[in-house]
Amino acid sequence: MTPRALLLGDPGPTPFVGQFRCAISAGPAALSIAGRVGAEAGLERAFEVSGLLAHALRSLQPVSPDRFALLRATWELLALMPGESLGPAAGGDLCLLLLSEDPGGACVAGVGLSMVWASDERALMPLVEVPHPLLCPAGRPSRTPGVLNLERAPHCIVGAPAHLPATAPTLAELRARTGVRG
Amino acid sequence: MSHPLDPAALAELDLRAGLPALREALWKAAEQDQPVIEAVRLIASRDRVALAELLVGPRAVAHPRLLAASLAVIEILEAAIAPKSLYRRLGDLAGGSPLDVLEVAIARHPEAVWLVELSGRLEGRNAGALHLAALVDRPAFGAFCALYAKAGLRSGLVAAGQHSGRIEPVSSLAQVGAEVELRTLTQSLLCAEPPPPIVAWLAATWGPDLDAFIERLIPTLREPRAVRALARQAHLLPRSSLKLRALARSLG
Repeated sequence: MTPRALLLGDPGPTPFVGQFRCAISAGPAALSIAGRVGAEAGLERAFEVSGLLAHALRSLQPVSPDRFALLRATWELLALMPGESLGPAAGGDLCLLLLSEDPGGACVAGVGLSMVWASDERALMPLVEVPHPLLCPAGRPSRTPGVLNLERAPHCIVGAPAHLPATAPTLAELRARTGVRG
Repeated sequence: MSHPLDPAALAELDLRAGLPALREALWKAAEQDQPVIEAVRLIASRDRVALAELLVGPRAVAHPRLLAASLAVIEILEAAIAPKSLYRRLGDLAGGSPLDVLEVAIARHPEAVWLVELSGRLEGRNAGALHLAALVDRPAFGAFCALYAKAGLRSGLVAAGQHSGRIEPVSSLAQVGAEVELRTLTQSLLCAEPPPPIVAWLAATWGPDLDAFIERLIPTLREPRAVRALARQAHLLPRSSLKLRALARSLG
């Protein structure tokens, strides 16, 4: 199954250092996460830091099975994590793109993004215009970030980490740029 | 009348006017397995353009036994013809010894990008193995691994990774999505002592959804130490870590 939330990789020979993806479900609600953390710590440490964060996120326990609770639980978990567990920058380099959905609709939230696009398999369209609260610097947020509400979830959403330009990939290069295989 | 390849005759000969006779004489000498290197050196010392006409030009003496003579005067041939075209042409004329040409090209121009194409033409199935083996201690090794991967010359990359134990062939294969070759190389590297951090490299180059790849890799592992190494490295991957732990336990 194609992941629903994707981050663009960096140019160069190791584009996905520090990246992770995971999916969580709670009853009829589902959350897709794409993130990047600890990338400056070196390839092995970044793998460990991002893997531990993904592992923690997979154990999320939302208070109710809906799209808003899944997002809240994510931010609460991040706030509780010890800084050193998020790498040498203590999470200051965190990029996160979240897509939650339930039968009532979908929500997009995130930090450390320079742009977010929605894809319907035929085109890639900007989800917001610059400036927008969804597009903010990297790092653990000091307050719970806002939510972009959508009537229904797009096929997938693609984020550019904050350190990358807000330049959309073509659909032809999307899989390679986001490390989607198979 | 003296033989055209006789040193005294060669010294007197107008080489460009005498090209037809020289071609015929070189061909006959090669056919009869007579030494020609001294004559070729003498021609080289007098006229490198005539030399190039005889050995690599459009009407070159296309006899495989002349290859050693061409390689003996390679510096002079390179002064007459750009190396990329020269080695390509020599490869065409090399008969059953194309690797002799490739080895000389690699020794003289180890970081030339055109070697990727030349290796593909001359080295056959393992294209790139010779070149990458020569580069393994140079900073350009990783960049050339990427070039071979992009050129679709993957078996040589696997061989280079197996022989060197280096990680760059892994990341280059991952970047082009060459899963079959990647599995072969990963199996080998996991048996190294100590194994390189392959899973972290794969995550950085293949992409963050590694579980499916590792799950397909597991049934191909034949060595218990490879299973144990992979279990240690993949402990943060949710699906494959469970399978690997169970498998490692069953191995004792």
